[in-house]
Amino acid sequence: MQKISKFNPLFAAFLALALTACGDSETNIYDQDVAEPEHEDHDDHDHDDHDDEHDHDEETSAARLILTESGSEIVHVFEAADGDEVAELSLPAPVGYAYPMQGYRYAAFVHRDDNWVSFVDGGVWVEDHGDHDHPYAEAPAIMDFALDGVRPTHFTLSDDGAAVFYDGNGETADVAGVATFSDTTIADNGLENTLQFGTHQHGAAQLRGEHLLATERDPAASSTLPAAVGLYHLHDGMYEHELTFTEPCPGLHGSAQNEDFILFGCEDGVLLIDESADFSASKIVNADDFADGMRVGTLRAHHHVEQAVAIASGQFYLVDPAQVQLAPLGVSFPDGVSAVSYEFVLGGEAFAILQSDGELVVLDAHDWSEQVRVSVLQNPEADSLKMVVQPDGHMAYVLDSAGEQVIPVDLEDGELAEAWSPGFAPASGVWLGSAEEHDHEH
Amino acid sequence: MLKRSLLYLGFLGLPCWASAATIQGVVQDEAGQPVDGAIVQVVGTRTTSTTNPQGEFVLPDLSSEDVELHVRAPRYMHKNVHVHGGDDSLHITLDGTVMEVVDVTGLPWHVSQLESATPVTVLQGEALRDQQSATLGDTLNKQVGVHSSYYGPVAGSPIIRGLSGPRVLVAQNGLDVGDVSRSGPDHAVTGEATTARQIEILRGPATLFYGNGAIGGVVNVVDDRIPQDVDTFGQWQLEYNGANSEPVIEGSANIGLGDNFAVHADGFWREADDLEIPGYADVEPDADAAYGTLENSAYDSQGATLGGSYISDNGFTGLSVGRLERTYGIPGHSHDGVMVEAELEQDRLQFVSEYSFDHDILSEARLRYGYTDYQHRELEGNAVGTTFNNELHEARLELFHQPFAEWRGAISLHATQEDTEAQGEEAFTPPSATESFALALMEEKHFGDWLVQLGGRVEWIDVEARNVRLDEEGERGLYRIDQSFTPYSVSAGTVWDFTDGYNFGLNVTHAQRAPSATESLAYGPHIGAGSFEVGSIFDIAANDHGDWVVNFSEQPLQLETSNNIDISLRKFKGDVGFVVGAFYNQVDDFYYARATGLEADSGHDHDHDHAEEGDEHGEHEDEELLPVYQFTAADVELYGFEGELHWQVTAPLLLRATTDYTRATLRDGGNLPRIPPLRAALAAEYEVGPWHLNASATHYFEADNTAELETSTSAYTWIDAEVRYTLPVLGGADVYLRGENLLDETARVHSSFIKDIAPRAGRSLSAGIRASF
Repeated sequence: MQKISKFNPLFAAFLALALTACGDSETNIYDQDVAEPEHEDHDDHDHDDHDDEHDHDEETSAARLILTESGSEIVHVFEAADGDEVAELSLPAPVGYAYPMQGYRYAAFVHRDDNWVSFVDGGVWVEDHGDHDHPYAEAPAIMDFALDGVRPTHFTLSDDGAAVFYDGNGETADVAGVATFSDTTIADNGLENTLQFGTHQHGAAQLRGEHLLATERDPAASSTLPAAVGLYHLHDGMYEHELTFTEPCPGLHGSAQNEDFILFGCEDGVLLIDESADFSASKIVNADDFADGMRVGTLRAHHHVEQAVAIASGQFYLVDPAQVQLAPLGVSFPDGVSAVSYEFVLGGEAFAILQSDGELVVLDAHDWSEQVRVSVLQNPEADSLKMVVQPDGHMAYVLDSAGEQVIPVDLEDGELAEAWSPGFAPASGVWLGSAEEHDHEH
Repeated sequence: MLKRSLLYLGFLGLPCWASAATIQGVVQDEAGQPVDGAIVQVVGTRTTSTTNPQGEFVLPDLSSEDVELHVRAPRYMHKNVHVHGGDDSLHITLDGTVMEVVDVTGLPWHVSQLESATPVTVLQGEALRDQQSATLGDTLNKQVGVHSSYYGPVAGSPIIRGLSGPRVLVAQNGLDVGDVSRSGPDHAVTGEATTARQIEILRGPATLFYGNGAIGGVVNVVDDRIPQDVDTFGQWQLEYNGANSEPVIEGSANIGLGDNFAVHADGFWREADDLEIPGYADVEPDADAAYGTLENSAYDSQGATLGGSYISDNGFTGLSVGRLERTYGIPGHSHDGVMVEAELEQDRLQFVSEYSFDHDILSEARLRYGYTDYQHRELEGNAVGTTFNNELHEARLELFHQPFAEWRGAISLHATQEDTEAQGEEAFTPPSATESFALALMEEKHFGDWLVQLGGRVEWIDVEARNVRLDEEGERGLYRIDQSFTPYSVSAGTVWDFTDGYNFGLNVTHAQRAPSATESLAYGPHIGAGSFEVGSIFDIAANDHGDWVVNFSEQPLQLETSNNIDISLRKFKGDVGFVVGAFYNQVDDFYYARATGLEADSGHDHDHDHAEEGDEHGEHEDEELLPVYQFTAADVELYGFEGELHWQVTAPLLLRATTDYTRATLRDGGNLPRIPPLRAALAAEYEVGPWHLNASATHYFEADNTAELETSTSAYTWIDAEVRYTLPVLGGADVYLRGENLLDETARVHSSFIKDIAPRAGRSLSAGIRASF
């Protein structure tokens, strides 16, 4: 049966209208919490009236997956535990990329070709009620807050919020720019902070409190990739240029940040900016085993982890600011197999890599030893897999677009849960929910 | 808010300023003959005098010589007389009338059928006893402008000018009856006519007096449960109705105890079998349908009230408690073949205190407080399907001021607090708590031949609904909805005595109404109405395949706004009297249940998306599908006429002709559903010695101005006749024999939700005996 979805921005919707002279009418609609606080005690199964197959998902039941379909503007919201569809929402345009916001209540959907970024409230979050955390599970909704800008591409997250980099377009003389915002901005439909460049570029930006580190490109350069990084400071909603780091970063692509450092991938190495040392910049040059043309193009970092992971031409390296070196991570893939998704997981305790052959490898983020290796899927079709992680929790969800299925994987023990079908080929996804704190051994 | 109102009780203890003025005079008829038993009342006070056989009256100890007198006597027109200064002796002449003139109680104005800017009817005395039936709708359905919603003989609400439910307030002694009859046509009204003294019908917007729920009119059932004087009186009746083998026993009595106390007691009991009807109940009967019987239409009900008052010279304070129980079948309402019965219980407490005093500013204060605890269960076999609970506190304080430049009037403060909840499978409206507070001012003044009546009211209403559940995909969740409304009403009217024996009434009202909880928040199957109802706070999005989802609407809720004009022409002197009137009511944002053409299953299991996944949904495959109606605000026009003519042909023979008609159209085209058709009736009463004969014929024309997806209803003629004999015993007890529907017509009521499965009774006989003392 065909499904229809119509959406209204709803949460705390306020409808008021002055009628004639003094006949007034006002309606306020509030969400009412439906989720009772879950039992945190795992031994207490007596009160668990879920089906047995759902028992192990108890602590993640206040979690949802938003899955996108290739080329479609419809996003589907599922209960992460059992794949029950909660809602489907019709976004203004087909989705290019999907990202979570820092509180994992909202998701950002980048419609690159349509110059638009839209936001969805997943409907599950936790409110601090003093003596306890109160979980909420409500209807997902599209937020009023949205961004428009030419070719939004890179989306980066920090503890302070998110930065969206608009590449602009050289052919139409649209310049690049950055917008930064937080969960609060989304909730309040507030104003984003902005930065505008003088030219287009395929760049990236990282938000650090009131500072923004953003790539800079010489308008005269032939490449659309920037070659330098600038430091900007926020004044009245606009970022003002403070300095351009003298350490260059030719062919810049990829960026990340952890507690102290902001990292950018360059043709000749990784540009390292140390906030704790008053934003001093240095370069970790490419390792000796880098082949010609090999370069770091993607970076992964985590707030709790001093080292970062750099991916250079499909090879994994460790960026160690303390040692000022790029060292191989020690993972290798069989011929014809590559990594398709890789993220820090378990609150920074581990790093998970999903391989194109269906193998999932979990590395300990302290000593980078292999903790778990599990074959999620045998002989998957090419380019069919993608992994969505619960960043602070222990679950990952492998999306198999060819098989139209979602396979939950417990990253702590490598156990596979029962796969469920979303009813379409999932192209990408976002995990949203109440973040489950992990003990940190740092 | 109630506490705030109660503070005003303090006024009741204000000291009086005594002075001495005496007004005396004589009341005569047109021929100069004295009128015995006429009541002369100082307007705005409780001071009255009754004329002696010489027509004389005395009103001693008045605070002012500058007063207005209201003089009334049976079969005479009421008269208002202004008295300025020390006239020697007044000569007041009353005009005889063939029309019955009864004052409406409980309004700050003096209002009767012949003396009002707005149309009113009062049913009382023999006429009320003759017409009383098990439902209020059926009791009143011979009154002009009033029809019944006829849910079989078991439930029927009055429909006034095509409007009912949340637009017509049913009150008892001026206070809302506090039941759930407004939310469903199969829910019985608890206003009980059996022991009533009179029933007052206000047609057209009466929000000025009664507030939000009275935009279409008011039915106020008045009884003497709180004695207002120390008179001893009472009545009793035994009756047997053949149409449903129904014995009825009822009686009421007020007894004065000394000079200052009076008590009241009343009780009734009735028990009926299934109604006998001509032919099959269903328009398209099944092979196994019962012939000649409306199945599951039996009922029984009983109730009793006790009251008592402390009565002093300038007022009274009284309290009453009453209980009503009723069990009835719901015709046509079956779940999987199991007949559904409803069982309701209502406990009412009323407190009334009225005092007049010689204060510089205030002349009278009236306080009414009512508490109603209502429960209504729908039973399927022995299982409780749905339970409705309603708890209502209502208080109204009216403060009358001393005439100011001959303007008389009152300020009314009105507060209500109501908690409503429904639990079970038919809980189509979420639980809600409503609080309202209203302030109204009503003033009137005579300018020569003109009586001018002006009023205004503003009301603050807060509704909080919880557990509003959306289980569709889009906005699934539970919501709390807070609504506040500030409807207001203004009204201006006049009565012009343009020539002797005639008057002309004109009234213009601008009234607003907040949509009811059902109209705004309903979401679920309403089996009684045979529909799946969706409130106006929601939006339905549907595709061409008939799939649909519900989300919250982005459109704000509007107040329903009525602009109504009423004109009346009345002739009252002599052997021919008439009241003819016309109305035009333009209502913006009129909430009505619009047929969407969609269907929903009655089990409210709308989870079709996963139906293919397993067998657990297979049980719903046979579920009865209900048409989906959505409450929608649209601009409508209602207009029509009402007419009543009385002709005293000879001393024993009185002829009465009545007619009414309402047309209700959507301004964008189309008709409103269930609007009663044109009706015309002729009645004759013949009285000779102890014999009283009356007969009436009422023709209901074909109802063919139908709404979308509504069918027309055939015309029928309903003929009743009664013969009554007054016995020379028991203080003049009457025995009577009555025949109804003498033509044995299959009468289907267009204004009924179940007209196609529940016709009115077939030919039947009733007999009874009644007396009063």
